[in-house]
Amino acid sequence: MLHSYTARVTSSAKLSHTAAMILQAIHAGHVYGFSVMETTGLPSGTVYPALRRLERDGLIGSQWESQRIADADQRPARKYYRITPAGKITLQASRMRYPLLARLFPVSAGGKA
Amino acid sequence: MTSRTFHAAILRNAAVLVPAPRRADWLAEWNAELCYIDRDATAFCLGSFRDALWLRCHTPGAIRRMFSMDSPLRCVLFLVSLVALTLSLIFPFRDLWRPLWSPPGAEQFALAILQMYLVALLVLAALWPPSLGDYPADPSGPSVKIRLRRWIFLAAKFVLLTPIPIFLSVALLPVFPGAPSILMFVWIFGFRWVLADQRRRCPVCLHFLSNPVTIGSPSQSVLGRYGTELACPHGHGVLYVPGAPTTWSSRQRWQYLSS
Repeated sequence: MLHSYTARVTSSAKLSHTAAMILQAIHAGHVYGFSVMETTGLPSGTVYPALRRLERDGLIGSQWESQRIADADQRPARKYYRITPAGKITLQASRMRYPLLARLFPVSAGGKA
Repeated sequence: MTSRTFHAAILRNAAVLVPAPRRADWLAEWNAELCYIDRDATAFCLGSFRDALWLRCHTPGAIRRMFSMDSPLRCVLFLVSLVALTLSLIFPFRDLWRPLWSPPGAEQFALAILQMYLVALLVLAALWPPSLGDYPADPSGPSVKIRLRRWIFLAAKFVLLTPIPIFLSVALLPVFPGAPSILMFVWIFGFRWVLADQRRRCPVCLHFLSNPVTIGSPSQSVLGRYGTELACPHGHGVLYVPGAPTTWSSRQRWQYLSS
């Protein structure tokens, strides 16, 4: 059990720089796809598949915004992403690998860090 | 066409690649994000294809379902695309096979093809029983139109399969001069596939039968039933396929669930 846990953590810690950037951006409070795109400067064809991959690996979770809130703002409901505890551990490991990551997108005061 | 309609159309086209259970959610997310884009919306929308393709490739069984021939329409489209593909293969070699269509060569070629076609049908009938099984006439069963559709589907498969080996052998002629000799074998196995495909489809909706259940055991084949039962996923009936052919039950038998 411990072996499988270690193997999972080790494998998930080996994120690509792009995936680590996206994870850091979400951690910094950029919680929807377009916001991640704007922050990282990555194209949509890179950001969205990466979000799916991170979600599949359990590093982020997603949730639809309440329709009531969206209707009040007269806009369509968005899908918000949040970092999971496993994602935080992986991000911590990725920061060791990519030391400048935290400086790229510092966690804002309103962020969910 | 306004730019918004154009971008929505791009997203809808990309959505076709997304596995059906996730499509609505996926499209809603992309459409919601599109509302916030103020520049390079086309580039943004084109990225959706990569996302859709990623989902298609990483959803278990999605690729298999994409190429599944469960639906009769998909099966016919698959054969039509094979005909188109093999036809496109012979175009680069059109100078080589042009003599085949000139008057003296054409007759010989057509005669040889016809001969092989007939031999293939004879061999098929001799090796494997061409029967499709027992489909009892039931007054409460499907209408004549539906029953006719089944035979049209079978005929369409035979007709579409016929030119594929011809085009393929002509295309292979420059690299493999003996290609026409294998024509007959391709037909034999192709027609065998057509019959096998027809046997495992529901006679009403023409979709593949599913949920195979083994009933009985080999030792019960004398007094009881031993074989496999398959059901139509749309509830039209049940097919019994005998495990060991006997004198009283040698062919598969269909039973309409309405009866």
